[in-house]
Order: sequence, then structure tokens, then C-alpha cells
Amino acid sequence: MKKTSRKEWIVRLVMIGAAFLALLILFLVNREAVFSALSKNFSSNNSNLLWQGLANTFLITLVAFAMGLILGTLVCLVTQSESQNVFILALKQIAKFYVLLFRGTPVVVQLLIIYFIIFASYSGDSLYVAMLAFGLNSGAYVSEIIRGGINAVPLGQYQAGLSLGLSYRSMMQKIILPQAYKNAFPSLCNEVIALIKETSVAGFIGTLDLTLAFRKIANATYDFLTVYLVMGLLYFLIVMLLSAGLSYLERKAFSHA
Amino acid sequence: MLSLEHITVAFDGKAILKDINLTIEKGEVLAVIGPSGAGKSTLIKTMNGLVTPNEGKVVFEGLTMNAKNASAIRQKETMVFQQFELFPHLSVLENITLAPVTLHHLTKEQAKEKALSLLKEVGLLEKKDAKPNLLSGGEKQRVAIARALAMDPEMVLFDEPTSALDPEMVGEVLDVIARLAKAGMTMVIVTHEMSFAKKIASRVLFIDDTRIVEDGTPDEIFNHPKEKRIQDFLMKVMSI
Repeated sequence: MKKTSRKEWIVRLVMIGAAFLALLILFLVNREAVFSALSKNFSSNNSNLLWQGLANTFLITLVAFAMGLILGTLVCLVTQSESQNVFILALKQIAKFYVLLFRGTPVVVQLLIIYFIIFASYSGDSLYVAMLAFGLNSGAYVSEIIRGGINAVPLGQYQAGLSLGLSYRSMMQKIILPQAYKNAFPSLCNEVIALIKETSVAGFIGTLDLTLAFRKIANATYDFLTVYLVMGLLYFLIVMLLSAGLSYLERKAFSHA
Repeated sequence: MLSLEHITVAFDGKAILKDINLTIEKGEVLAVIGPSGAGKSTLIKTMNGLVTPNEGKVVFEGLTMNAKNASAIRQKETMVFQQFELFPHLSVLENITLAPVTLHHLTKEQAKEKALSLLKEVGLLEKKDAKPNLLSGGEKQRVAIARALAMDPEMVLFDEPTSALDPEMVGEVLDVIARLAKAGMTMVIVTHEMSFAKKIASRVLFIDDTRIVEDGTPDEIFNHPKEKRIQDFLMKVMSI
């Protein structure tokens, strides 16, 4: 990593300090108004809504990412396979079409089609449909990420695995995929962060995610300025915390290689 | 033990090997020499089934190699690579035990015991828990040799085992190979170390321009080569 110069540090600290100072002065001058706006919009019954929205946002992201990881790996292995088995070849076409379809349309469109057309007769919680839709969407992107990770493993590693007598499957499992995941780790982190932000459209099918919770509050109090600014700030904090956590994890897990 | 019959290999229409016929007997130490681009690496990878020939067949102990039995055959003729190709995500010990355990050749305990004794033989017992990126080139190659031996192969293929090493590390790797030769292991070594080939090989193959130019004892190839091409080649590489 490049070392930050002394000069850059000074510029950085001065600018951050100035911004904080400006915000602090603004806050102090208007503190009565700020407190009253906050207490008006975020009363205790509203905070229930927010907690639920927050929980759902995390839940959708988590389930969708887990699904995406499994689906993406399988899809990637199928599309990368050189088998001439008719069944595998057919599966390969399906997998390629799936990736094309889900990468070629906006996630909102996928969400709407899945909920209102494919699951039209479904009467359960839309939360599960949201998980499924984001999972399918994520799977398409993850498959491409894993493909990149696999392609970055040198050919010699395949040959070394095979030369010991390992089957193609155990060679992939024990040698190529662990390295591919490691190569793909930074991109997979980006995918989690992208997912957290993308789930903000879950409200389109009535799933109470963080965005919908804030929108409900704003529609009730008409104080869009306060509510939406707080919403933006909250998303920003979540993403910052998450990316700091993930890069810590990356350093921890892969520090030796 | 291993024979190549009418092997022809071409990449993108460019011939790399043409009609190669060769039989390797048990206990032979075959050194393959020749100029760069002659097809030496392709030849040894064909023996291991890592390169599929366009024509001809590889026969190992009576079995013609195909996609189905390639894995089973490779377990008996493992390989050591120019670029070591240790698995970077595994420790030295795990690198060695991976194949025997995965293939149920040995139990975990047996594999570990075997790996430790192999590491002791190549003088790297204290590195057993290190990750490959902490080893020097020579150490990496010695681990790779231990890894190739962990399957109890009947034959080991070496593809330029010292070409990627710093000069001061060549000796330690060649020592291990020489000891293996002395112990009676059947081996094929593609190498640029002429004096080493002369010393340990029981048979030398000179390959140039897709063909076997001469096949003979070290004395025949190094001291009385019939072909002028070999004389020229030896002049060039030995005079350095």
C-alpha cells in the first residue's frame, strides 16, 4: 500500500476539521430546531419501524449473498466445465442464459417480475420473495466474480493438482477454488456492499426494508429533509462500518499469502 | 514401464512433436536434453497426460492412457515442475499430504508420518508448518519433490527442476534428485544441467525440432555424439 505523505495528511486533517467545525457550528446555532425535528420524526413508535426495516435490510442482504455465493459458484463451475456430457452441456446453456438475463436487466425490474408475475398467486410475506430475487440477481454477478478468481489461478496449479493423480473435481475443490475465493475476496466484499444498497428498492414489492421504513415516517410527518438526510447518513455509516470490517477480515484471513 | 507410440502433438497447427516412439524401462534414469523450444516440456507433459497428443498413444504398464484412467496412472508417475507449483494456500505438510489423503491412498496419520519422513529426507523438517511463500526457491522445489514422492509413485517426471532456481540453490535440489536416482527410482528429467545429466542418467535423449535426434548412453551422447547438431549444442552449453 502507498504511504500517505505528511503533506497529504495535513490537507486531509484540515479539511475534515473544517467540515466538522462547520457542522458543529450549524448544529449549535440550530440545536433547538434539530432536536425538535429529530424527536418529532423519530418517536418511540417510529423507532420500532426503523429497527424492523434495518433488520430486514440486513436479512435480505445476508440471505441473498449466501444464495448468490452458492448459486454463483455452481453456475461458474458449470459454465467453465469442458465436459461433453449432454446433460452438462444443456445445463451450461441454461446457466449462460441465466447470467445474461440477470446481468442484462435492472434489479427492480427483476424484483417486480418475480413478485407480481411469477409469484402472482403467492400470498405470504414479500420478504421471502425479495430474498429470492436479490439472491438470483447476486448469483449472476458472483458467478462472474468467481470466474475472474478462477482465471487468475495459474495453469500450473491445475497441472500440479492433476499430476498427483487428483480427479478434476477434487483438484477444483481442494486447489483451485480456495485460491479463487481468495482472489475474488475483494470483489465479493464489493458485492455485499452493493447488495446492501440495492436492497433499498425492496419497498417496490412492499417489503419493509430500511428505505421503506424511512419513507413511511416521512410520509407521515412530511419532514422529508430531516428523515431522508438521516436515512442517507445511516446507509453511509452502515457501508463504512461494513467495508472497514471486511477489509480487516481480508487482512486477518489472508495476511500470510 | 512407459512407452510412447507414434506421438504427434501440435498446437494451433504448429507441430511440437512428430511421431515420437520411446520406451522407458523400470529403473532407468532418462535425461532429456536439447535446445529451447525443441518440445522437451511437451514430451514430458504428454507422458503425464497433461498434454493430450493429436495422434499416438501413451501406454503405462500395459494400459493405454485415456481420460478415464489418466488420474489412476498419474498417481504412479507423479511430476515435479519448473515453477514448483506448490499450493500457496496450504502449509508445506498439507501440500504433501493432500493427494494421499484425498485419494485415500493413506490415512491422515499415515500420510502425516510419511510426509514428515519425506521432509526429513529432503532436509526440511523444520519447515513443515510454513506456507510456501516463506520458502526459498530451492526449498520449494525440495518440498515439491517430497510431494511427488508422497504417492509412492513408480516413476517421477522432472520438468526442468532447476531452471527457475538461483544458481546457489541448484545444488541442493540436484542432490535430492541424485539420491533418488541412486535409490533406484525410475525417472525422466528434462534438464539443462549437462554435467548432472552426464553423471546420473543411465540414458540420454537429445531432442531437437520435434524429433528424437539421438537416444543413447551418456557416454555416447556426451562424448561421441554422431549428429553434428548435438556436437554444436554441447559446444554451446558446455563452454559457458
